[in-house]
Amino acid sequence: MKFATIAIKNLGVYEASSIRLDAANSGLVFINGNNGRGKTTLINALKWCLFDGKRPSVANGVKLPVPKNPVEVSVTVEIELDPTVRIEIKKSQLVAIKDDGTELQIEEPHFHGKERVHGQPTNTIRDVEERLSRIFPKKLENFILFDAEQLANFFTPDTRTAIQNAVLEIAGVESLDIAIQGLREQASKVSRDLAKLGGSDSSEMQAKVNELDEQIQEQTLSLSTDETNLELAKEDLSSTVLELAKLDYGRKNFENYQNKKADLEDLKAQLLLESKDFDSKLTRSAYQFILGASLHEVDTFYKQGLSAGLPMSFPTESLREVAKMESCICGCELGDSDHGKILRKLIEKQALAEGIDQALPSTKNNASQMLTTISSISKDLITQNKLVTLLRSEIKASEKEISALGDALPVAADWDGLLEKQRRLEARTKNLEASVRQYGQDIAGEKAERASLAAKVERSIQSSKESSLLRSRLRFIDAVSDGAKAVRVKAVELVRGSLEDAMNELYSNIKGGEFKVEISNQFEVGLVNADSQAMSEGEKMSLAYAFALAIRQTLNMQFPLVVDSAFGKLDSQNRLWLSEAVVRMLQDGHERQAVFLMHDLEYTPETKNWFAEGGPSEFYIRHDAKTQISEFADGLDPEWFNSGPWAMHG
Amino acid sequence: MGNPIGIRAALNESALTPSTREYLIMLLDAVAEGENLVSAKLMTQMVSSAEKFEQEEGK
Repeated sequence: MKFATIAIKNLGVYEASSIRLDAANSGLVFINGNNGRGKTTLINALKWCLFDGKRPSVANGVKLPVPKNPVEVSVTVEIELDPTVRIEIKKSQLVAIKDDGTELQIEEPHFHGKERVHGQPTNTIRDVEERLSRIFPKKLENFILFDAEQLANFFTPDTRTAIQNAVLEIAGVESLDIAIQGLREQASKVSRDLAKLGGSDSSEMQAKVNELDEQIQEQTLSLSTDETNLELAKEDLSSTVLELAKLDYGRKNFENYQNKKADLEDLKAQLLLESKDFDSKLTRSAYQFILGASLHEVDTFYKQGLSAGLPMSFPTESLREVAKMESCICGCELGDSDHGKILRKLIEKQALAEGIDQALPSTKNNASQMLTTISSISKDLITQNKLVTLLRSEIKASEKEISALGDALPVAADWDGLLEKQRRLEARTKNLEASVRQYGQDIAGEKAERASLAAKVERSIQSSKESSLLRSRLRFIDAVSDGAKAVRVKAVELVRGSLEDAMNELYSNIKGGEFKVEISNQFEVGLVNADSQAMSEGEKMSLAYAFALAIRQTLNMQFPLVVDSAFGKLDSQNRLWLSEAVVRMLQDGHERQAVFLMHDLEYTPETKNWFAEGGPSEFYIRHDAKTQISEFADGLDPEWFNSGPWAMHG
Repeated sequence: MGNPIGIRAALNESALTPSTREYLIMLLDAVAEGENLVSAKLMTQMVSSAEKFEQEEGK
């Protein structure tokens, strides 16, 4: 990698000047200029452009005529990344100068970048800063744009930090640090997920669910019993209420029943009496009359017949029957069947009378009247008999009704007991209903709680599985993080070892292995068995060079080495060592570049001779003392030949 | 820039399990590509690698 051209506009002593470095045959370039000509401005301009360092001021003090209107300041660097790829980076900014000479930034600095690949059209670089950061790592800044004098003391904190940064950059730990930070964020994310799951113990919740299950089972059983009892109580109550209703109805109608019964009994008695009396009186007298009259008539008729000398045959058998009838009537009460018998006898008697009538016409009228009388009496008898039959029927009906009433009437002694039973049953039913309601509510509540707990248990079990997985992931992330940290340590160790090896190789080659370089854990670079504090500044500076060169060797990287005050306080022995080391470095890689900025006491004919093998290109900074403006020019400063080493050299 | 040689060499010399090494390399590649390190893609890879890690630990 080489700087091909560098152009500076309106910065420091430079109004508009550029230097082309790729024209040189080799990568070794000397830009010479005495103090105040703009060597440091060149370095700072590059730092501003490439590493976002502090921008050189617009005006070089009061010496430079400064326009009042805003001016564009810029640094343009063309870099040859390899023989086929070049990029051009321009960093610019509009700045105005106030009356008091201070600067006013009109805009923020900005970049333009172009990339040219051989044989292809030029492309615009979209993110110039990002591209620059990859080409020129910020942490290697001090060893690319190298201020040897500043780094001459390797025991200052700043230098240690620079070396540490360089080692870490070479080791590539920044990406590891980002990865470790990423792992932290991943762990944080997983931890948040874990926290969301909560710390509930599913086994405790499951135990609670089991306990609730038992309670629910017990209560369900109790509920079932209570429900059964309730049903029974309801049935009992229902029958009691029915019984009570019947009782109530019966109680209300009891007196009516009693009265009606009494009435019926009276009626029955009366009917019986009437019937009996009728039977006994009416029937008996009727038959007595009939019989008496009949006997008398018959007797009379017979006597009349005999007295008339008629052959009378008396129906003896019939008379005997009549006698029997009479005896029967007089001796006992007549039954239903007796009426029939009487009637039949009467009919027989009527037939007898008719026979008599045929035999004795003179008595016909008498017999006829007698029969009419008998017939009338018979009709009355039949009517009376029917009435008796009716009365008896009524009596039987009354008896049946009375009997039915008796069945319907309750036993009076159970009435209070039934009322007490009703109250008891009503109270029990209420209790049972309340109990069933309570059980129902309890069971519903417990079922709800159980369902909730079961859901929690399910979630908890699920959570437990998930948390187990998440914890496993956290363990893994921790393991990766630990591994990354171990890799980080190892990578730093490897780089530090490589740098030590490279520095020792440089020293052993150049200095004959007299010294052994060590980079401590605190990133201090020193020589083993040498008192670092007692080392000369030149020795320390040589260590700085060794480190800068070792970086390139270790990384096999092509950074240009740009050094201000390149020799500084190096003694001649170390200058020689440096020249040999640089030439060797350049010979090892044709794409390498070393740009030394030197003043007249550093770049001497002797120096040029040391570097001669590297085929150096020479430039100088031409300075107009009147305008205080500098510009780059080829070759050596002609003024140098008027005095100093070059004049002496001739 | 970051020099992968330092890390790669250290990765080879460090005692890492296959799953942690594999995932760390994935992460470093993601860093090099400027990816979001808590992206769904990487988290999924992490889950997969964590499962392998569990198996390694179980052996």
